[in-house]
Amino acid sequence: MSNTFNESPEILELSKKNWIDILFYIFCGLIFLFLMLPLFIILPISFSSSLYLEFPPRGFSLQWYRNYFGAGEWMRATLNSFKIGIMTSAFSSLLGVPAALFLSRKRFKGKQFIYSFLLSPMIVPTIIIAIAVYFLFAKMALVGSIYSIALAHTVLAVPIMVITVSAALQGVDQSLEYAAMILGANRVKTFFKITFPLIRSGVITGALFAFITSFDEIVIAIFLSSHPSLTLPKHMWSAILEEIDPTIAAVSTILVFLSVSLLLSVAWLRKLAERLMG
Amino acid sequence: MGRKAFGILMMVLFLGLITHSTMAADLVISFAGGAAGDAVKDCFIKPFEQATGLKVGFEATHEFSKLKAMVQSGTVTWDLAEGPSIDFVILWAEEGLLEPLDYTIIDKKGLYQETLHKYGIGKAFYSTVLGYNSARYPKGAHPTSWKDFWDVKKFPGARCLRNAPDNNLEFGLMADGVPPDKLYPLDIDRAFRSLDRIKPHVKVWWDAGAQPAQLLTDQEVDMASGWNGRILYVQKQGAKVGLEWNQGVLMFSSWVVPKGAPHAKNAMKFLNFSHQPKLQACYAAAVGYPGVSVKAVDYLDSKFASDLPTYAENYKKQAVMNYEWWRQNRKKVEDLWNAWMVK
Amino acid sequence: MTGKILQSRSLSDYVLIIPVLVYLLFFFIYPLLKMFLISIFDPSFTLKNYIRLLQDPTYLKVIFTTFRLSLVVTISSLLVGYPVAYLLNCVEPKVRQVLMIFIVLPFWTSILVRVYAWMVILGRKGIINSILMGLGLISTPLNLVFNTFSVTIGMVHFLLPFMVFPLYSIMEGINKDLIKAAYNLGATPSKAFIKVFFPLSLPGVGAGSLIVFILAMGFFITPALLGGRRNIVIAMLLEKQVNVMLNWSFGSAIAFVLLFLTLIMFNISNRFLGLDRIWGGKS
Repeated sequence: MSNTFNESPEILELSKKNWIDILFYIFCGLIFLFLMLPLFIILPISFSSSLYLEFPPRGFSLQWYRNYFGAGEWMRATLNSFKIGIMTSAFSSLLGVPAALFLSRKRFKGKQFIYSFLLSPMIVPTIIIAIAVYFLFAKMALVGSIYSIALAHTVLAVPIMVITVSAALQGVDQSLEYAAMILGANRVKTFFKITFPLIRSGVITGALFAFITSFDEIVIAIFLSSHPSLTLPKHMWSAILEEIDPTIAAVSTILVFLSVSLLLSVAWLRKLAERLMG
Repeated sequence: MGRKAFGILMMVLFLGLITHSTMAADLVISFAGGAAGDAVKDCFIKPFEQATGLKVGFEATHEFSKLKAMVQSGTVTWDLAEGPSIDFVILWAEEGLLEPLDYTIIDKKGLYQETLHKYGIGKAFYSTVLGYNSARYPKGAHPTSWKDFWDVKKFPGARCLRNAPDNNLEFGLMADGVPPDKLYPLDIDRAFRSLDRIKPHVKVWWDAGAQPAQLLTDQEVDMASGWNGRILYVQKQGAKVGLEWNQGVLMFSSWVVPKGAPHAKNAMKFLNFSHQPKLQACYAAAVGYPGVSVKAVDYLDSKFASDLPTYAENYKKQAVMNYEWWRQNRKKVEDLWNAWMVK
Repeated sequence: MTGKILQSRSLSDYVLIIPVLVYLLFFFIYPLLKMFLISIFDPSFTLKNYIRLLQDPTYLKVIFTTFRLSLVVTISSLLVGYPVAYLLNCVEPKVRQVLMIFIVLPFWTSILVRVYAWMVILGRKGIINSILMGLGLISTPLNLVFNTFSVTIGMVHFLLPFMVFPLYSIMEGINKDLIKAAYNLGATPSKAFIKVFFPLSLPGVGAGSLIVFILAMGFFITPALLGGRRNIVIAMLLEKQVNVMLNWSFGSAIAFVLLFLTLIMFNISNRFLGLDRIWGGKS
């Protein structure tokens, strides 16, 4: 079939459009459909005028959106989640950016070990972290405060920041830093004037990722979050278990839009960074 | 720039740690949210605030472990909590988690005496009943007993039972022919053997109170055990769900006061206040769960009265849960149940 | 030595790394240690919780169920993820970026939203059944939810990026010249794939599979909401012990056994596959 020399044999192979390739495309298409389907199925349900999960929905109504934005716990929970997300983002940035800088620039033994340690919260099942922190906070009488939730979420967010910022730092040309220091700038100035602007989009990406991780986080919230520190996912969890209320479909739709916009802004930021760096 | 922000954040964090938010309330009550929670707010809390001028805060929660966490760490933020059944109340009291109730403030007269206990007092009667898909099993041709529930030939369809031994052992025995008034002491082996027969036909094992009603509404299952109030609620909303009182199991939940509650006295006052028959009638009409005041039924519209588990017609068809037996045997039964579930 | 932001001998540089280390020590390591102590001091030193856990057939069965489910999820993720990673490898960078967004987007959405959506899609009156019945292909609705099928779908949907990215990362590094060489030697595309490409992609297969497996072991939300009786996993039991039974010592023991199993699997993977490549490759 294709015995010719070429730069990328795979691309050549796919352009041949034989039945294997067509099957392959169809299969991949189905997988992408699989990935997207849940996100978009909520949309019609959220406008349903009937009281229960029906598809296709019977009529059109904004009642569930009204319920979400109206009086009740939903708005308070959303506000809490925003506050906690911002705090998590801030804390993990403050902790993670210096750490990433340290790991990427400093030479010393045991770097690998520290790197693994900083990433270890990703390996430990979240429920174990949730319970351990819950016991700790119970003894310290901190259960039920949004600050405690933010502190716990930061543990999950630190690895995210470290990975993202480390990747960004890898892309920075260190000769720029040398140049600045040779010209007389001290190390701190060099970092803030040269390095940081170059990794800014990476830091923001990491911060956004940390935010959304905290905003959507449910397992820790199940243990730590209760009125008045109710988070949005915790309230959704209660709604799934306790209420017979498709408000959750409206909330879900809103959340999907939030995620899409955040993700698109990250992609746009990346593009911006690429253009700036040439 | 970075350092200043860091400093400010540290201060905010520190302040947050030492002054975590407490509401300036004279009484904090914890209970499950949703329709029942709204009923507590409307029927009890609002009138109480008006009558006494005390401010009442509330927390919607259904996790009892918070109570243990609070008591053990010494910072109790609840004064009154909705607890489960009396057998659990006794267990918690034995662990030192509860404050004894002050019956000098709470008047015992006019209340169902079996709901009064040293560490807990009845909140609401509720029953686990048989709910069914009324589109599939129209009235007249619907399951009317647990024997019917077990009969997959006469009533084919997906079943739903609770993921706990509570009530299920009783149902298993009744399906096997034991009359509702001769259940206790429960023959555990016989109950599990009976449950073995229905196990393969149970599609969902519910954990949360809203699940069975939801599943019936969505027609995900055709028959389910569930709490009368929830099933009635979806029925009233237009779902094709029916409710059968026959062979239901009558239970009651309790109010408890955590040990070390800051406003325990206000909690007792609240409880006494809430026992007024008129308020109890308000609550019963809203959620279908009557409270502990015997006279409440006098204030109830007759159309609500027939929906209550304590209504004479309904009451005589049911079995009454024997909490003493459950208190003695719970641990053993829980272990047996967990093993049975994963078999 | 000059011209570097961080001097090799300067001690003040350590101020960058100390805060995060202290933070994790206090809010991560310390709570875990405390939990371990709770499991063996109940109230005085005892191993009864661990003995109970490892001897009780119920819990052993649940551990086994968790393993089995994780295995099913891992294999499914592999079957679904490999073609996707391959596709990413083949297309132009512009298309690749768009596809990446599609892959990552679910990841940025709340898991509750997704689980709820799957309940809608797979339910008796859900989309799939409605379509199939509307087309006349079936007369009674299929039982698609509250079983291993729905749990697997829900979990694969969540874990797919964790499989795709390591796979893609490795595939990207495969030297295309080797494929060319295979063609030169007369191989057909399928043979080149089987004999050259696939074996070279195995480190990605291994890394992705292990990450997915480890993460799957700790899952709680999806099995709890989408699963049936046969899908009771450790994390669910753990939550019940802590939140409902209030048996914190026993719950801690369960947590530690789960953690122990997780760490073992991670160590194995690290030894054979060098996961640090994956951390570096993922962004």
